[in-house]
Amino acid sequence: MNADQILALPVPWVEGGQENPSDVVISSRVRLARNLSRFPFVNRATPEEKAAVLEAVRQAIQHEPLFRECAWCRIGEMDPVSKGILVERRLMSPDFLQGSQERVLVLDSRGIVSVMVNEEDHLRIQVLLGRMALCEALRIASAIDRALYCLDFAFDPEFGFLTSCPTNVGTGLRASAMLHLPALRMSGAMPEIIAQSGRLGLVVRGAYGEGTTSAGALYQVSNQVTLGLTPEELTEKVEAVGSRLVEQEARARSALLNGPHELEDRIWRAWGTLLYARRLGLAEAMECLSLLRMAQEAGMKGPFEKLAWGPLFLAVQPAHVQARQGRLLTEAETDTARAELVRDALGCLR
Amino acid sequence: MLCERCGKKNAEVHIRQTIQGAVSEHHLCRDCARELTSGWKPGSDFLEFSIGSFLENLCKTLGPELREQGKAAQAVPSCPRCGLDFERFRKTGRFGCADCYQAFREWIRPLFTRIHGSETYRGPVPGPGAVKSVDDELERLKMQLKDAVSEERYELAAALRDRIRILEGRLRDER
Repeated sequence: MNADQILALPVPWVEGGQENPSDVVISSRVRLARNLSRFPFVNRATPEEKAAVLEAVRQAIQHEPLFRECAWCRIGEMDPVSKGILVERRLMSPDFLQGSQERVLVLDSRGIVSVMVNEEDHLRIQVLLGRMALCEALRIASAIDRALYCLDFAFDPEFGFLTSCPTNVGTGLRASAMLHLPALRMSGAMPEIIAQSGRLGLVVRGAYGEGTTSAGALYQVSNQVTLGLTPEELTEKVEAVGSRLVEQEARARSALLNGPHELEDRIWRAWGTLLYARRLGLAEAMECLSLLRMAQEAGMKGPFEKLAWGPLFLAVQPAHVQARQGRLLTEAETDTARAELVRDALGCLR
Repeated sequence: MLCERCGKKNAEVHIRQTIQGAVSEHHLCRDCARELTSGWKPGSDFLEFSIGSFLENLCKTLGPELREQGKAAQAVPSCPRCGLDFERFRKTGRFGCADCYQAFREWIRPLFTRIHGSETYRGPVPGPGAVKSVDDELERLKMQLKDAVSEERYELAAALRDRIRILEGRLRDER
């Protein structure tokens, strides 16, 4: 698969946000880690064994209706821009980039399901949906999981599904929701929220950049423990905490918007930056877009009302900028090209 | 979740560390995090700490069998299939194959309790493909149940009993 073919795939988690722009929850993701019992885990497997895993997976999905329309991407044979786009669309992990020949990404044509073969575990089954849809994502992931039981997954009655790292053992499940929390961040509430989530066996962290100051105010809430609770219980827990954060964000926004005009000033400054900047860094672009999304959701009047946040959010990511230019760029060139494409997109809205 | 270093306080500091492409995650309480980062200087490894040191600590504090016998951690049997020894597992924090779990079973239960607050799986059981023979599996579960009861590990015993009932039910349906 080349960059153009990947760019042509739908990105439901971004488009989902467009249909209902008032969603604080951008996307929901469920990931299952699985290993084939008859092969050593990836970190101890020879290239031949990893190739055998790949072949077993290929045979298993060949006649499986759930994988009828899937692309088979050999990571080692892909160019850096194509790989970057897949990471930016969150269809594979950044760690998967350093690909050996035996690493393959199986992608469905709807842009929802991706399966990484020979990542840290033999299989990483991932389902990615727009908005808060963790239960639906789990339902899809579980159906794929069951369809692949013929691969004879490593399983122990006491410990559950066996994984390379002890932090994934049991359900092998990581359920995560990506939330846009600009008001909670501005009000300084994030450090406390991050600290509290640990007590619940959950993790809240920056989705882009770590810690309390994530670029674009995007945060990820996910389960930390994978053993002792069922997949449904884990997913519900993440969803419950996600919903609480949505409520808190709404309250924080209302307080900010009813306050002095400082926020309004910041929003218009963001608009000005995006419209006139000649060089635009990724973090700055994401910050400005975050403010404009908040303005849209608050129903503020202005040219940003018609802004399609999702597509522009993807377009400013480095590999997407480079794909548009059709070549690898230096950081400075990327910043210039990013400013140009944002000016074009916003210019049409004026 | 408890701090993976002291195992006493809640983990409130979450660290993702990448060294030469290898990513590891650590979950510490504020005190342990402060202690570990006090000597940190820009440019040095973020933390001179790995899951290995945690496991090492774990073996010291939670390996009564080992201590009583006065044996070192090397006394833990190596995995008969992939050859991974416990020492290496402690250093890398990664198992080598499915059989490592069987080989290190006694030593990894406390580790799971610290990471997950539990050592017993609850969730779907893969179909017949994963269980070679239901009879064999039943036998193995019954033995584990006997051990669990004698060790007064009732949470595990209850989970095992549930699973035995499911398998027995399945067998009855099949025959």
